[in-house]
Amino acid sequence: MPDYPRRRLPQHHLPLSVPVFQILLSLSDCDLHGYAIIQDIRDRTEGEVELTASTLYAAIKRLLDAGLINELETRPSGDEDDARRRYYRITSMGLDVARLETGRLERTLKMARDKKLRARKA
Amino acid sequence: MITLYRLALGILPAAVRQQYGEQMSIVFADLVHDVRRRRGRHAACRVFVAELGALVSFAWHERRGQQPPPRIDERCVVWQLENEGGRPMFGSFLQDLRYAARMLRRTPRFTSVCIATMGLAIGATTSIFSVVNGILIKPLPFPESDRLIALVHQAPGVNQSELAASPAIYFTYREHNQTFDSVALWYSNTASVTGGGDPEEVQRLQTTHELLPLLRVKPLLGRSFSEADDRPGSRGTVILSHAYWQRRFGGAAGVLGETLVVDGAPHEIIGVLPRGFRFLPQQAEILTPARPNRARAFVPSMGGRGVARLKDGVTLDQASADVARMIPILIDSFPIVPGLTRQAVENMRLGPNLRWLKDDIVGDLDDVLWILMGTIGMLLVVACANVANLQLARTEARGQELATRIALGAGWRKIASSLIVESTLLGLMGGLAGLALAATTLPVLLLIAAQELPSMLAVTIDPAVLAFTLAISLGSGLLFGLIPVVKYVRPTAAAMLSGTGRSHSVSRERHRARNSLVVMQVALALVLLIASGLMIRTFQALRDVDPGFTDPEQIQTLHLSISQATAPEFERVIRMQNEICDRLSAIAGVESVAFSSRSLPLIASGPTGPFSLEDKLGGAPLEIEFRYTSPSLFRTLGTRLVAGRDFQWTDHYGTRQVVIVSETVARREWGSPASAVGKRMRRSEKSPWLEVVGVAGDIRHRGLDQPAPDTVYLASSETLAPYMSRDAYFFIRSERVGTAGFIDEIQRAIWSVNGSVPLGRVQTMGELYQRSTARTSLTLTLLSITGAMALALGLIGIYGVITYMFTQRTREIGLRMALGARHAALKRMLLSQVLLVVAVGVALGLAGAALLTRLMESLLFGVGALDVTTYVTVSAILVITAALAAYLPVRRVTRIDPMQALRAE
Repeated sequence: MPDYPRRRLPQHHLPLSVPVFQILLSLSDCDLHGYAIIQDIRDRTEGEVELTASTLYAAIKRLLDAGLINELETRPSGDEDDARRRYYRITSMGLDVARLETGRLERTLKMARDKKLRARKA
Repeated sequence: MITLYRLALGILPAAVRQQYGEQMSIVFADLVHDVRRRRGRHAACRVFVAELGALVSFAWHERRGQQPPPRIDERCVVWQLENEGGRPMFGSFLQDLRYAARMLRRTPRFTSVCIATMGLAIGATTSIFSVVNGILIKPLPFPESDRLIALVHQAPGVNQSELAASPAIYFTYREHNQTFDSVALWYSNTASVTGGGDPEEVQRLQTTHELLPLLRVKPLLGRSFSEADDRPGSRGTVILSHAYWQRRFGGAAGVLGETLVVDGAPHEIIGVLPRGFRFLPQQAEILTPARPNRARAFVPSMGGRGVARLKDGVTLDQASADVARMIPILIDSFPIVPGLTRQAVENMRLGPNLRWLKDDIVGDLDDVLWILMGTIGMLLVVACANVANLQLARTEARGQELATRIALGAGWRKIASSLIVESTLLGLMGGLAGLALAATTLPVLLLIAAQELPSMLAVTIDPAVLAFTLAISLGSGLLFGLIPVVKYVRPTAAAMLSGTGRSHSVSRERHRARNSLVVMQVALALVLLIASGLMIRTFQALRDVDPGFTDPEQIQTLHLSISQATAPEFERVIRMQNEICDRLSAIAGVESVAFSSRSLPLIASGPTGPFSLEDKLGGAPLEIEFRYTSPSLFRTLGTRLVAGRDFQWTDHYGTRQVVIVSETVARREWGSPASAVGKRMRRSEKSPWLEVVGVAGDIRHRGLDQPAPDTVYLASSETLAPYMSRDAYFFIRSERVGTAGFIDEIQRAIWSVNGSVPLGRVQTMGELYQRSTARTSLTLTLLSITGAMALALGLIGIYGVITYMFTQRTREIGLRMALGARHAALKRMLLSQVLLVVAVGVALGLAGAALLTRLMESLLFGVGALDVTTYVTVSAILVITAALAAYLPVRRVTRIDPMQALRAE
């Protein structure tokens, strides 16, 4: 088992709040800066989840404190964007937490399906 | 907004702010920019409000959640806090509340002063916020109004950015667009309603059949216009507004199917609108179909206004791209306006300048409103500082009581929480008083501001306003409650309250707290006073502007529209207008009468057109505003005729085309007014030459704060008839304007020419002049009231602090006097200490004003945001009044008997 910071196991972080889980999803396959995270979440959820700057950084601070994401020292190459922007990358523990949460949600979904609950078409 | 957000970041703990503050500002700026572009300004305002809520929550969690380390899930943190501390916290809160109420009842004078101060400030803030909420934050009163856009165009080639729409645009967009759900064309004008009583002029909304479904408005009775109603040549139909239905038909249910004679033609009443329907700046009384005629549609005429509903998911940028794609189709599909060439139309570079309908209606009002909101916010801070000062004094006076509670085992946390509950209670009571004040003053405010606020948007005290009032009441209660808590109720400071802490350093600390509050009050009061000073200077500058006419209160204006039914040929229209002028001139006391087409001075610009000068045919044509006028216009308005002659009636009936140009045009194009006379100009190659016979002084047609436009006055004549409208504004100069019976005589004179011509928009030029300065005077009035209130609160603060300071120093003063200090020297010493505090406040206030008044540059006219005269005068006034406020307690203190003073300790 990898050596996690602050000696907290991934399962101790569950369940994740919607913003936190969405941020981990956004960072799961690429490094992004703050506003790009908001845009990615908005696009993926088709506007259902729209984070404000304060919600985003409240979550980012907790994720950084818990060692689930890192702030990058250098900017991704080829980025012509505002030089003041900071980029974030998911850590291996962050990935583990996201996977655990995905499993938890899958199990929850299965329970709902077993009870014949289906989402209404919008 | 971004600046405000940066300021609000101050509520985060310093370490968090340092680490994330800049990133949060960058992301917030991106977010606001993006939302404004995609969904308009009011959506951006909503994001701002949501952002503030999230920020408060972030700050709260950070401040509360530092020990033990926070968990990731914010909801879990909230849950834990509620569960662990729930019951006891609530029980103790009720105890504190009861205690606070008892303490406040025991000091009625203190309580009522605090409630009055806070009530005044919260009331003012609530009133202005109701306006901001109604105008800027709330969406338009139509379902899914955030999809509605105004079809505005620009033509950079001829320097135009506010071109509206036309039948040709309507047909093209309706048939070729890919981004609109539907498109409608509308015109706002007046119509005469005759038959069944006196003829009357009513406000009319002429619209294509799509408008009501597009706005998602269903008539209360009957139906909307159908496509058949909208076809040229179809039978006339009309829909009544709720108010007009009540006024003219007494709300009769059987009104459908009845006939109303509009502009001389019978129209069948097919519907009645719901009560709350508002669409125009002026309330429309009737709606008739626009019936655009494809056969008579030209490019690039822009007489109408267009509105469209975007398809779901379409952004403003996509719609603009769609319009840009359709403009070449437009130019290919319709004939060019006679006299213009295709090349000239292409050179105009017609393009989209679309905007959200809400933004189109609100216009540039948001500047004024946010500035007023900001200044009122400052007033609220001044009021809070005042109450905080009173609280400080009271906390000290309660030293014994608090010491007793500490001795009985109450911890400093307990005392702090009881003090905060007390001030929150005060804040809430102030909020209640403020709400009552706002409910009383809002109607008055709306009456004063009626000219400026779009009537389409309702300003009321709604749940959002109530929530805002609750929030600022709680917030200010916390703010002025925290200051004494931070100063006195800390573990180390608690001992000071026990009465044994009368050391030099303690008393100095107390002074520092109160002095800083006075410094802040003086600084904020100065900023507000400078802002109102700048508005006073603006108002003066506007008053000094020469509008181009004299004695406006002696000029009566009215609007007459001669319908097709009354006079089918244009020649008949001119003869009727001539006859009306003659009859009006015959009224006793009337000096002169004239009329002019299109619009009144100071209100709006008239149409502009290209004019080529005969002696400069090679150059680009001039884009000049033109108006058709009768003889004697300049004599009636009191405008100077600088050179040449005025029109005569023969100019109107003859074949020789003559014009009068404004002085600026004459001087710029021909060097002097005299040399302009005799020169010739024309609209296009096919139109006749127009000879300049006179040069008139400049008139500020677009408003006092706008430069006088280049203007050419044309004699209305049969040759120009196709270009002219049947509408005219009449001007009547008489000393009898405003006296009883004058309007009746005018009405009789007009109806003696034709009984079916209704009088519309009867007003004096004096009223127009007032209206032209309405926004400035409104801002001036509100800023002055705010400034005066801030000054009064500031002075009360200074007086209170100084009285308190001297009471504390009675012993020292007594000693000094016993040792032989002179009264005069003592007074000087005390006054100079006060003035030092004031001077620091003034210095900070000047710096603050220099920064903040830049935001109001768009409201200023004839004076800079850094006007030295205003800054110096206002500072001097503030220092002098502050010195006076300090002098009274100083005089009292230096008159005391030294022995008594020494014994007092």
